[in-house]
Amino acid sequence: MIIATASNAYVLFFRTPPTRAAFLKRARVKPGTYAEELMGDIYDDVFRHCCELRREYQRYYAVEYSHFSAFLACFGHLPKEICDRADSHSFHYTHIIPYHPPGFLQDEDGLNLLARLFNLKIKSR
Amino acid sequence: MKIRAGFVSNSSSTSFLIISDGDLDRKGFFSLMGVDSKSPLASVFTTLYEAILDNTRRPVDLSRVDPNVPVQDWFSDFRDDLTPRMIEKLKDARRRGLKVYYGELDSESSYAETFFCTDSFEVENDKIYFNALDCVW
Repeated sequence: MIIATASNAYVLFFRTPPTRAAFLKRARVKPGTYAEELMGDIYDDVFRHCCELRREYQRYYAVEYSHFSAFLACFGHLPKEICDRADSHSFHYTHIIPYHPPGFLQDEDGLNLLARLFNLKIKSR
Repeated sequence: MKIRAGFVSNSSSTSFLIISDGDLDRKGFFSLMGVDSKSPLASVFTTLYEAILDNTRRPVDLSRVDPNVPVQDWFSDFRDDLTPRMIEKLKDARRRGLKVYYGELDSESSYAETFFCTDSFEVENDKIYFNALDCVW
């Protein structure tokens, strides 16, 4: 599932994150080319550089916040409706990742493209 | 004096140089960039390809230029922004009779063109050379 929280911000919910190889295969880019590097950068942005909220909560904040939803609400970066459903999201999804995409993924076409690349369904707010 | 509250942004354009063995076409461009025509990214790279064609003032057939004049004069409008790397590539391309596309990408256009306008890269295969190293802010 993918939710647009703003025009240039999404939250990605993964049940099983794709491997880098599977992601590049889905993108249909040729090894050793600009397009492969571009897609590799996006994959690394999401899975290496972005903060995975569920792990962050369990590692650092579970003592302070009894529920995942309370943690998200206090962080304040996500809309209330997402926070309200966060506990069930946390149960169903292994990786919950806020993502600020590069320019070409920031409009509606970009959201659709990102959903296709990660094989996620777009959830309207 | 006016005081503006809020974001202030500037626009820009950045130069690109493409040297092609024959006319630049979409299939060859996709092959250079490494995108399958059925890739989810096809629309993004189609936007870039069309922006390149739209923003090229006039392609130059290097088989017709005078090798005795400065490289900057090979273009219909004098280019004083050619880098040594570009000049080296252009001289080699003239010897091989290749074709040149020179222009600018605009940051005030589509999201895709804006992205590539700010990305700095250089790619090459046996048919096409694409220099976008100037694409940096």
